[in-house]
Amino acid sequence: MAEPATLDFKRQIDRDGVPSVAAGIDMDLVRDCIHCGLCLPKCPTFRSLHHEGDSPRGRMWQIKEAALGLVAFDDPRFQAHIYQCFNCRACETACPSGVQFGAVMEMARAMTPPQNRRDRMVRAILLNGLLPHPRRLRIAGWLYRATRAARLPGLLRRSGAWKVLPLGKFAAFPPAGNSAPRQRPLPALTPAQGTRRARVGLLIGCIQDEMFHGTNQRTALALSRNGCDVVVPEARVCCGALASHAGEAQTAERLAARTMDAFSGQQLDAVVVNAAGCGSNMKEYELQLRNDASRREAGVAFSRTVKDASEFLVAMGLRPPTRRIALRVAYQDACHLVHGQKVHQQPRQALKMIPGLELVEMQESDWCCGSAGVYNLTHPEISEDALAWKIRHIVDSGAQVIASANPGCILQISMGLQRAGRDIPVVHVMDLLGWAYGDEGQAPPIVRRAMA
Amino acid sequence: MDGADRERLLGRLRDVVGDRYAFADPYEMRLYQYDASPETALPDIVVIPGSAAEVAQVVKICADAKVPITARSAASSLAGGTVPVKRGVVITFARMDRILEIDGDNLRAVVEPGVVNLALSQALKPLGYYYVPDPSSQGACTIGGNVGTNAGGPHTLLYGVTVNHVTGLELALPSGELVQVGGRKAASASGYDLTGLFVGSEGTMGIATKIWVKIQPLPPVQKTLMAVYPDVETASNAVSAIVRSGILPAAIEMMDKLSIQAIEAASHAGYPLDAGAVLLLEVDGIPALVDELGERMAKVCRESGASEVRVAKDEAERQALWKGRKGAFSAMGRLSPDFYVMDGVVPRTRLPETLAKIDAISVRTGFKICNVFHAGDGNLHPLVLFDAFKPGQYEAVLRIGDEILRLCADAGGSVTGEHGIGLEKRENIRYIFSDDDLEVMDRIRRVFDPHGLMNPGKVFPGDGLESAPSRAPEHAPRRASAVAGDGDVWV
Amino acid sequence: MGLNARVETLPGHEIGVEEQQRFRVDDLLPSRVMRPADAQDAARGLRLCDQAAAAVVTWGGGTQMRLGAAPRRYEVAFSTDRMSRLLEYEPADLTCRVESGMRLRDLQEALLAQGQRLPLEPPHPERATVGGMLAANANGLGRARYGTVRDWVIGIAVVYPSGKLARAGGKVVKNVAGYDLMKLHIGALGTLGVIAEVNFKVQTRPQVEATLIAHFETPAPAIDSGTTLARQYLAPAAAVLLDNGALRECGLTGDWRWTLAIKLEGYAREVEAARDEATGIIREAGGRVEDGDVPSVFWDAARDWSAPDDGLVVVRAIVPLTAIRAIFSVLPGDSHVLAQPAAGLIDVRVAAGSAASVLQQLRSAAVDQGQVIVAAAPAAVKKGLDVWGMPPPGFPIMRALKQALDPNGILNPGRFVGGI
Repeated sequence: MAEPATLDFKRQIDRDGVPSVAAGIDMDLVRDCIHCGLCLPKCPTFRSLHHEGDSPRGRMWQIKEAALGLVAFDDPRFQAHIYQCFNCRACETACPSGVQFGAVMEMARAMTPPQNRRDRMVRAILLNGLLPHPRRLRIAGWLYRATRAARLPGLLRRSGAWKVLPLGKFAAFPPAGNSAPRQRPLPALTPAQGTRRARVGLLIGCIQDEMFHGTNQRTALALSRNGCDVVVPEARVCCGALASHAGEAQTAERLAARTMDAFSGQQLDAVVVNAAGCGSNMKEYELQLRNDASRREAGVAFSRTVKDASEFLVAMGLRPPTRRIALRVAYQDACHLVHGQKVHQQPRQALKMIPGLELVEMQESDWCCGSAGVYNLTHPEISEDALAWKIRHIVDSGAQVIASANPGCILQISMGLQRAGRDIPVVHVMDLLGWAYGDEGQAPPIVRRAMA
Repeated sequence: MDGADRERLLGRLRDVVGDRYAFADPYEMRLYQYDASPETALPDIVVIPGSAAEVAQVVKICADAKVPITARSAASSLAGGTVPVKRGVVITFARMDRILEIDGDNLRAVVEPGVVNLALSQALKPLGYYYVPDPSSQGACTIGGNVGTNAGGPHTLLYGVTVNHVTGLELALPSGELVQVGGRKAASASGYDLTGLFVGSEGTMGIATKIWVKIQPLPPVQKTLMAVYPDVETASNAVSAIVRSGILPAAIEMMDKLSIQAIEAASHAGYPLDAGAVLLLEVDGIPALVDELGERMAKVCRESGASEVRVAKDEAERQALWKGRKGAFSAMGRLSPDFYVMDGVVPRTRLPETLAKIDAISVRTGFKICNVFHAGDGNLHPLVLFDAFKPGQYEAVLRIGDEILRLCADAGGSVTGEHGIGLEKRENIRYIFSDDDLEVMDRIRRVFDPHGLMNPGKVFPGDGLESAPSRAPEHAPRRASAVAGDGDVWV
Repeated sequence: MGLNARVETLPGHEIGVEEQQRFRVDDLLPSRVMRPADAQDAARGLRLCDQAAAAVVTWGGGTQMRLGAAPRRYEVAFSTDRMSRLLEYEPADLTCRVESGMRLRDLQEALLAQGQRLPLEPPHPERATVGGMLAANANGLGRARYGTVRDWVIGIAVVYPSGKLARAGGKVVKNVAGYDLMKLHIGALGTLGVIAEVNFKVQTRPQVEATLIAHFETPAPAIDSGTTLARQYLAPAAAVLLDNGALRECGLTGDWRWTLAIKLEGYAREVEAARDEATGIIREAGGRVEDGDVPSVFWDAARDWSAPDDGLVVVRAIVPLTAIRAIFSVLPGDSHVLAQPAAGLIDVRVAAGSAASVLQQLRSAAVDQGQVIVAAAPAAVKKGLDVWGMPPPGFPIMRALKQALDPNGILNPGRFVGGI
């Protein structure tokens, strides 16, 4: 077999001139990586798999080689390494060169379909078949809540059926949250309480509103208590985060446009998002819409108005909640908040405002829990490895409750803790804040006791 | 290695480490062709052993088959140290990353080679200890790699480099044995200091599978000062003034104007963009002393031409300054698509003239050269900025690098202070060592590695390994009368 | 031509009876003395010795000649006494380059004139040479704080039997080019080459010095105090633990059974704080801190104690800090001991008659935690002793290194570990 040439760019260029680069890959972004290796110790898949090809540096290198035609985008080994990435972007935080890993990864995924059958199925059903369609989503949400109301999770656990059914582990160990099949939609306007300080839009999201409707209510409450008029657009929109992170570029672009339209013309000071993955995605619309001349500029402007809920509230100056919640709470950094949006301190600051709440730190709070969008469905084994680390650190931290800021993380960690027999509920930062502002809904028993 | 040989060897290696951790797929080999240097070369097989015992077996299998072995941990080498230039087998330590023991009573820790430098200090911190050598890449580089290159870092000015902090090693020898040299004790009287000899041998003597390191109590307080100078020359003269003043700080780092721009673009560390050069100084110790030394040092800085001396007011500011400094190389990406970094050393007193000459090279060639370096040690890191996508630039930059190393050697210095000779500087080593010097070193290498299989193609110039050193015939006893005429110098 | 005839043709000079005695090593006397003028000269001379297969013992100040096994043979005394120049010294660089025959005291005086020093104090600095200090790895009392010889040598020029003069390291304080052959020659007892030149890094002299003396009824709390001090950030410059016999031999009188002497160095504030801290640690362990000054001769005597010029036997144990107590538990009552608890080093003067049994007991107490060697002994006593103990696990490599650099085995044959 003929050996491929090594990628000795520099000498090759001196000899043959500048190579042509595959369309669809922005080589300037790829070349930001100087392969120094500082990202390796922060990569969860490198820790699990020990293979350079499953490290951020290795992935950048492969994308560089593919862009230059040294390996093929549809090489199954290329696809395997590229789709084995959580895209948690911890490497971006570690990178001193400022490599936009997430953006490069999304470009690379857009160049090649996923290789494994499970991955293709998840895409067809979930990313393209369900999330973009409000009516289907509502039906799915109703079904989900109905099964909970019918105590299906307990049945699954007792029978052991969860171990073999698709999505069984998530159905058997659902998070604290909505279980009533019917729910009232959030009002189109929740008026500000006290002095009016801002007018904001709230993204209620797709999965978020079906599974964590109460969290949305409490987010709106927290915003209104802090003097915000909270506007919820009539059109149910999915922001396209899961599609975009998985490299489903067309779906993502379409959903981005729809989301921008939903919030347009409302004179909003900010669009507030309580799901980290969505917020991170919406802050990057300018990147996704770079090929759409009609929306490129609007995308830039829109991205600037997007704020994570805790980021927005802390920047505005949180009005102190009055109700005590005497709990030891650890905050789990959602990847797309800490790495994607560089929001690290604000959720902690918000939690510390709650009287009686003791914030403790777990080790590796900024490591991915393995949820990673649809990753826990497409790559369950690697996902489970990351979850096992997370559960160990949570138990070691001595926290009574875990707070996070993304529905995927809450589902995954909640499942992991319950399965491990730990009664440590996982809730959203906005849940705790909402309860502290007087909301009564859906607090897990340990929280209710702590509020007494 | 032909296909059949490779398959046979792969089969034997898989018997040791399992199918998943030994592979030869040409696609996957491409991921082990590089490190943090510009050099590349493809291996034949990659092995990821999980224990010292597995390493020993892997080494023996390769040695028996006369196949080259290159050890690789983080592959953060800036000199091509982990690039398998003679092909063969790459052994990586991604699975051997356990801290085996922390023995505070004896001020020792025992680690596997894949333990990340910073991870060790982080594990020690709650116990009140740390591991001193702190290469700028400490967030990624491993203790095993540090042993290979005798790594340094900003804080080695006062406390010494890797070799001063390693007391013992377990080595995997080509015979398949694991041999422990040195160990937990502070001092040694058990024959030659093989530990000291091995550290810095860049993988050419064998592979360390276990490392005993010294740990040290954390300083109670650290104070970081930033002194702002109008230009590089004034700043480098100030370095000598500080050293002469009788204070040896824990670190003295210098950054020139271009570096500051890159660092600030990357991390907003708080360096003044209008400075010609900045010195970053650190003193550590008990609070009262650190205050006194800080004031004395600030005074020396001002007297030596600093327009401003700023003291980091809290730990956050201090960390920001150091984060900026340690991320400086990677931050160069903000100024230019590519850079080429040198690692020359000159005596501290020769810093001003050497920097002036480097500047002259920059002016003459038109390539921008940044300087961000360990000024207290005289360890320069000139970074030549270029664009590899512009034909001709890379070759030109290599010539500039060579010229800079020649300058350092002529000033009485060295061609590498901490990155190692690796692949990149093996010809430059001749600027400081004669054939006789290298012949003695090669003779020693052959004691460990008679067949030239351990990281071949590194450290020594050319393909020096293939030619046997002149096995001096004069070693046979013979009559000496012919030279008795030299007698006049003997009394 | 026989060996004697070949040796006679070597340069240098035959020696008279008196000089022969001066260059005696254990029971053996040389027949010739070579005194090269510089490194090149030494290279030529050593090559001639190699060609003549004449066994060479390199001589510096002779202060460590009682260390090691008796040589197997000995024809040429290779003295570095003419190679005693300070070749380069740049105070602002904190580095210097010296010939190996330079005496420690001369070097320290040159450094002192610039307010600097080499923080290494081997025994008898008025006679000990730089080269001898390296070859014997002769460290003073400051090793716990300042490290050992290996931590201060940045370059070396060595003459090999092949006649090559080869360098390693360099003149700069940070340098990883090529192999670190400094480490190989330090402590090799001249069995791999003759050290011709040495480059050091040096340091500014400390602002102040102070001594603290404490005494204890039993050794255990004194050992614990010493090791606890070693784990403090403000570790002392030296800490020695002596029994009453050793104390008197070091020039102090007093009825104290166990004495812990601590030397503190550094900036004034640091020393002040360290004194308070050390006092606290000692008192907590049950020791009594003495007021008043200590005569300066004490530290000199303590430094020289382990390299006696007379026929005394010194056994040295080198162990991890946690194993010091085990060594003390087997010391015979009539032995005198001077330990450096912060460095895990215990020197014991024993009677010639009990040397073998003490050695045996100490070795079983140290098990595989450390080594026990004979640091000094007269020839007659050495004969019955295993001076170095069991060769270490890496010994085959050491023997191969010896073979590679001194294939004819002319350098100090038989004196080193495992008969090297």
